[in-house]
Amino acid sequence: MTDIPKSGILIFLEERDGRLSNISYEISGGAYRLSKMAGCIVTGVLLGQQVSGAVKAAEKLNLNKLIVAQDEIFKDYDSYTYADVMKSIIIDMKPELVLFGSTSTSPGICTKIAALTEKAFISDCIDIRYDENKGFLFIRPNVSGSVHQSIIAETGGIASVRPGTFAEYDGQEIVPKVVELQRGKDYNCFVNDAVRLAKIIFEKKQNVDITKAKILVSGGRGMGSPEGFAQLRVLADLLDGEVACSRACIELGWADASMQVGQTGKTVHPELYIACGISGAIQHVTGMKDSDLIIAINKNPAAPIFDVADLGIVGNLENILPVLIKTLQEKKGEANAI
Amino acid sequence: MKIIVLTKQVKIGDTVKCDFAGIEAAVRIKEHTKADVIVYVLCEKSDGVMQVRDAIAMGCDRGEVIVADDLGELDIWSCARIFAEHVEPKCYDLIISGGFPTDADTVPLGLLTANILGITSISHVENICISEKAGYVDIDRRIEDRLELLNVKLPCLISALSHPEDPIYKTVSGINKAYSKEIPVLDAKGYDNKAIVLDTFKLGERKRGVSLTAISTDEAVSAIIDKITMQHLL
Repeated sequence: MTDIPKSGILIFLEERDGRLSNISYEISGGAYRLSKMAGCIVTGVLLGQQVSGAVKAAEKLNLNKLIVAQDEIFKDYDSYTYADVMKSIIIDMKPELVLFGSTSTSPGICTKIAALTEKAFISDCIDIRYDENKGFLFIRPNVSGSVHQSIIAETGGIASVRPGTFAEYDGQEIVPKVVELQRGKDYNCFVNDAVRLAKIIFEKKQNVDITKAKILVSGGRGMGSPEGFAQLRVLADLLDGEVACSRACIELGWADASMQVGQTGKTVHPELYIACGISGAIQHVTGMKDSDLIIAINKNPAAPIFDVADLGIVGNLENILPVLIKTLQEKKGEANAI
Repeated sequence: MKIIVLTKQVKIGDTVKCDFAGIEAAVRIKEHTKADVIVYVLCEKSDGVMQVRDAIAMGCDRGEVIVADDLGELDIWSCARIFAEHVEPKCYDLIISGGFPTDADTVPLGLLTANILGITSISHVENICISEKAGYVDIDRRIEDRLELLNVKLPCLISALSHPEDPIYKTVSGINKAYSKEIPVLDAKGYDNKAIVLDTFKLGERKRGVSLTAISTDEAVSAIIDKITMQHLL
C-alpha cells in the first residue's frame, strides 16, 4: 500500500474580496472524500488581507487543519508572494497531493510552486482518484478531448481541478485545528520588484456560477453577434436558468469567460442544456455531455452537437428563438393567471 | 529589442494544432519597435517547419524547429526544460508563449519555462506595449472580473491571449522571405518527465437522440416545449 504521509492532502483555499470562492468549497469536498479513501488528513491554506469571514466558512469544510495567514501583502494578487508562502508550507508538510482550483490565477501560482519544489504539476484535472497500489491518479482529457488520460505523478503532485469536478460535501464532521502564520517567523514577505501593479480596473461580470445552474441556455458562434445573447438571457430567465457559451464567443468578445463551458472552461451537468448555434466541437462537448437533457438548435444538420443531443432541431435560430420565447411568455402568463 | 516566441504543436491523429497567439503578439510589438523576433516551434517530426515559415510570412524574422519524437508523451516539465535548453541565456528581452490553449498545458508551459530560466512571468496578457520607462513593458493582464495594468521589468515572459478580432495576415514579401530561408531543425534534449500517463480510456458515451429536420418554426418550438414539459422542467 502506498505510504501516504499524515499530512496527506494540502488544498489552497481561494479567497476573493474576503469571501471564499466557490471552487474552494468544491475542492475541499473532493479532498475530504479522497482523504477517507487514502486514510490521510486534509489541510487547507487560506491567505488574504482580511480573512475573518473566509476563516469561519473554511472551518466548516471538514479540514483537519486550517493554516491562515492574514497580511496586507496579500491585498493584491501577486503569484510570487502566494507561491513563496505555499512553498514554505509544502517544504514543511511534505504533502502527497497539493490541490488548487483551476482558475485564471492558478497557472501562475502552481508553476512557480512546481519550480520551487521540483514537483509535478498536472493542470485542469476533471477527476482525481485514489488507488491503493498506485496512489493518487489524475484524470484529464487528452488534447482532443476524445479520450481521457489517467496520470500518475512520480514525486507527489500539484494539481489544478476544473470547476464543477467535485461536489461540495454536505455536512460537517470535523472541526479543524486553526494555525495562524506570522510574517517573519513562518514566512517571508517575498515581493517580485520586477512587477509593479499600476491600476486595477474592475469590470462588470456575470455574477453567477454556471456550474450550479439547473438549466443552462448556451450560445455559440452561430448566435451571430453579441446581441444574440440578449435573447438567450430572456430565454434563460423564462426557464429560471442561466446563460453559458462556447469558447468561440469568448474569443470573439461576445461573452464573459466565466460563462464558458468546455475543455478550457467549466464542466457542467445541469438538468437541461439548450445549445444554440453551437457546433459541438469535442472540446465543448467534454464540458456538457453529462447534462440530463440536451436540446440542440443548429442550422447545420451535420453539426456534431446532434450526436449528443436528446433532441436536435435543424433550423434557423433567428426564427426559432423569438417564437420559443413568445410561447414560453404566453405559458408563464397563463400559469400566473391561474 | 529581441523577442523569442515559444510555441508547442499538438497533434490529434493526422491533424496538427498550431498556436499563433504568441506569434501574433510578437508581430504587433515588432510593428512599433522593429524588434527582432525569433520563433521556436516544438513538434513531432519536422511538422513545425511550415509553422515557422508561416510565422516569418506574418512578420517574424527567423525561427527554429525543435523535434521531440515522443512529444505526445512528454509532460509539462519535459517540454519546459526543452524550451529552456534551447533559449540562449540572456539573449532576449522578451519571451512570448501561447495563451490560446491547444491543450491543458499551453499556458502553464510558458510560465514554467520562465521559472526554469529564472525570469519574471505574467499570464493572461491581453495587451503589451513598450513602456516609456527604459527596460520595462506595460502589460494589461485579464484576471476574471478585473483587468490589471502592470509595469514589468525586462527580461520577462508573457503568455499572450489571442485576438481573433484583429488577425495578423501573411504578406507577399513575408512569404517570399519565408521560403528563401533554410529553417533549422534541431533535436530536443535534456528532458525528463515528472508525471506519466498510465492509461487512456473513454468515459461513457452518450447516445444520439432524435434530430428533426425540414420542420416549420412552430413545429420546432412545439417539439422543444413538449420535451421540456415531459421532463417536468416547465
